[in-house]
Amino acid sequence: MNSLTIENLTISVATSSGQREIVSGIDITLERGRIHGLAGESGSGKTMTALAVLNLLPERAQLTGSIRLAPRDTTLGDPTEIVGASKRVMGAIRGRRIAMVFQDPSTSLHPQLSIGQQLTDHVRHHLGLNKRDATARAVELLTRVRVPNPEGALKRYPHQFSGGQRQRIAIAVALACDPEVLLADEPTTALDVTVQAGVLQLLRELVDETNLTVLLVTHDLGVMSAVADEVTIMKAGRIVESGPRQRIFTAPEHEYTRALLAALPGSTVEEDADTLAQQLAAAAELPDDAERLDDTDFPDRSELPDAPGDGTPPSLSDADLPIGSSVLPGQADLPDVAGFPSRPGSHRAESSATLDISDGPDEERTHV
Amino acid sequence: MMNTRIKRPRIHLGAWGAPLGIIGAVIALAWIVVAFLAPVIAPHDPLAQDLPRLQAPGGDTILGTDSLGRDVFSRLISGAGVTIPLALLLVVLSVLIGTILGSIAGFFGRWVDETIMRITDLVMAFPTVILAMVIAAALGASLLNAVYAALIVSWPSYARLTRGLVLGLRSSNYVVSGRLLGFSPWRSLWRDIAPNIIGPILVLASLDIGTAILLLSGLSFLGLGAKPPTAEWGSMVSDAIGNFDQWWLGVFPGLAILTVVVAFNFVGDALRDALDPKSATLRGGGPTL
Amino acid sequence: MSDVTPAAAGTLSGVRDVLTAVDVTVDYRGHPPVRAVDGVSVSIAPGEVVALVGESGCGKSSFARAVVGIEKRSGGTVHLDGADVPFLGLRRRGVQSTGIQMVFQDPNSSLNPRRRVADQINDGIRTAVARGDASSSAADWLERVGLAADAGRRYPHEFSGGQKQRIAIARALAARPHMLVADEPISALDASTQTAVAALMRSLSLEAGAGMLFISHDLSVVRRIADRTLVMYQGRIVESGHTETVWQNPIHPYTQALLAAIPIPDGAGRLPLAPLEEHRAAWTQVIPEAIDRELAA
Repeated sequence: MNSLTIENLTISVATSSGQREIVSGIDITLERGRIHGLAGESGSGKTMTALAVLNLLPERAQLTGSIRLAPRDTTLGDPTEIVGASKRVMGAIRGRRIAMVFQDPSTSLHPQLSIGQQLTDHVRHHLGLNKRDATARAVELLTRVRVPNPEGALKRYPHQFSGGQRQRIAIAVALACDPEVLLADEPTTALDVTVQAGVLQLLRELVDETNLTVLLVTHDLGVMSAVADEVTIMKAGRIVESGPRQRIFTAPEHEYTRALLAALPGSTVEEDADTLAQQLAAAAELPDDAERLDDTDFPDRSELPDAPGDGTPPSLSDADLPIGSSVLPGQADLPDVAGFPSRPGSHRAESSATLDISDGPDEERTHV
Repeated sequence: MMNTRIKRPRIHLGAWGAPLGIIGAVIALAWIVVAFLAPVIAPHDPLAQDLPRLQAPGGDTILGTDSLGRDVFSRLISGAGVTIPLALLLVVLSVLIGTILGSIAGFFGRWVDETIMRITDLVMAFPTVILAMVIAAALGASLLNAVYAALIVSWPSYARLTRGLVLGLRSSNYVVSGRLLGFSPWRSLWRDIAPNIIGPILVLASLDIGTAILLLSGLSFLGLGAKPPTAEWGSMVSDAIGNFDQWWLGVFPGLAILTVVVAFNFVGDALRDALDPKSATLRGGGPTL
Repeated sequence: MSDVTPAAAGTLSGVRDVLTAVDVTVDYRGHPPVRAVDGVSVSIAPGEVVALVGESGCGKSSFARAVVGIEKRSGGTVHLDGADVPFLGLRRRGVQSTGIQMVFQDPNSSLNPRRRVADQINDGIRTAVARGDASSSAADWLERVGLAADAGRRYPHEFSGGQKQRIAIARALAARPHMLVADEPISALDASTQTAVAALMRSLSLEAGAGMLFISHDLSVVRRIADRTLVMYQGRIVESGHTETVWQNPIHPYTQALLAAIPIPDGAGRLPLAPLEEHRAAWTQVIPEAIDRELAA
């Protein structure tokens, strides 16, 4: 049965050269208890779509169309319309019925609050639990995401955990209020591949056990193939192809899908330099200074770094989002604690100035 | 083929920045013109004491006359020709000295950096105006000495700023690439670093012009700068102290200082907003979907 | 062409290695001091592509930087064509040492924003000429990396990240290096161009007769372009040798875990294997047979 229905969604942004559509009339249906993968390159509009579901787009973005969240129990009434919903309605949805996990584990959590505080604050705000119950729930959540020594973890701070653990904690925070829908925007892109495997496994388990609905946004087709049940491919704001995972990968219908699959390292690789040069020359790439949504669209943000452009206007970096994995009122906007930008397609860089060796030995005890 | 887009203007002026910046630029420019044309446009000889004394504004002398029978308007214009060019010179010299020392400190590091930074620390440890006063007094009151004194207290902030900027860029990939290609440190500084740090320095300099004017006229006000009978705004205000009933003696020079300083401040602010680091070259790119 | 023992003057094939790094160690100060690279050796012949793979924090970037000379070595030696590669201090880089060039991960900081792209490529050309190598033209290089020849008069911000990276590659290659060290050069690029750019880098360096040390965490791409692969974990090489051999028959538990964790984009819905705690302990093992594996017979 359907959990979230996106119908004819169009997102347009006012730019200096007029209105520009970044997402044009897309339809996506998320089924309960399934992972729906939204794939595409940078500039395809996939992240914007996810943000639109939570009404997290900046003021100057206009949405038309419909995003309907079905009630938990169909007897309880009609679906809730998200496009154009009031602040009150959205406040009751964000974090409570729809939650989000972002790419960069270093900016998903508040660096100056203990894990326990972040979890219990959230739970107490939305569910009205008292301190003891909230703490018990926090421990339960951390156990479920397999963070070792949950009681001890409550007192610790984000920087004391590795990237993979932080992402699990971010998932825990997102799931704190038992949401029906989880939006995950490149949740494992910044993680090492051995760590990613653990997080993907966790996601799959959560969905299978609790009937959670997941919208997984990623450019990584490997991740898509591993966990997605349905796959939708986006390009330049439009849906190119959509269908069950197996079919998309083994019998793609659209030429763009085929091109994406052909660009994977596993396929045959051209050897000749001149041919390669021609291929690259033909790939349409927009320059960095092309019109895009920039930081000034998010008035509350502090100094989050930009992601490099490889892409199209207007666009939105994962790290540029105002708040971490759960949208709490009053949670401050976060500086980039780790000190380097996050971008789709890159694993965490070993930057020139700092060497993040601490993550090696610190890894999770049970699962990676 | 590569997609090319029409180059977005690098400078984007915020909602308020543009009008204020333009107003400021116009006023500042007007004053600069006045300063350089001063001898030509002053109606009366600023030093001549041949007019009736302490006349209120009106008639022949639109801003009145002072206690020695000199035309305030002409002295105001002449004063511009004294203070403004000197203030500009002061800023240019501070920038030159400060940025050169700061670049060397930032790029070469170690003991060179230590030495230069301790000197800047030493100078910056004193309150600017007081230190300038002390130096000016020690050198002997004259406009030129006031400029020297002001220069000594002004260069450290540029050195600090430049050092920070250079340090920030020194380990950038493109700078390192240049060194790997065989660039000498000087070549790196000149080719790779300098063009990319001009922005903030320019902003500081334009904001600093106002400060320079205040400093110079302040020193003159205290008798440590321009000597009578030189027409200088600061000393004109000082003269006005004994004659509070003759409001025009103090108000007009004061207003002149005010308008010039505020005008340059608007320009500096607009420049700073325009060279907003988020849209500046170094960051490159922007967010992606 | 071995990973542990340095090549003598001339190997069996008679070709002298371009790069010989022996027992390189890199330490970082701190409480306690961190040993980022713990005795890594590699030799690379002209026209050979050697990949160094590992996850974040394993030290591969530090090693790359130590080899080029932009990171201080705490121990070990690095020779380029038999001559020591000094640390890049305040002195001008010696002409011979300009034979080793680097491509960085972040395309946005690899080019001077205030200079035209052709001018920057010309810097590379001048370096080659200063060493007595052949000259070339910036326009030519731009075409060879898939950009318009007249794009040279533009500034970096007018290009996308991927294009900037290709310009940086062009500049590095214009200097006609004997050794190209690429530190995660494709990680920041769009997935659809990553493989093509990596293949292009291989092609161009082969053509130039240069050796390439390709650092990456992306094993799938590395499999396509590297002749030999070195797997790094916690500062040490745990397994190395001919790429296909390592890939198809990994001996060391870490290599096995790494390969098993890669999701295969075949649409089968198979979750990659997540290593368990007990397995992690085994990753610090030293298995001599895993080093320097030859092409399987």
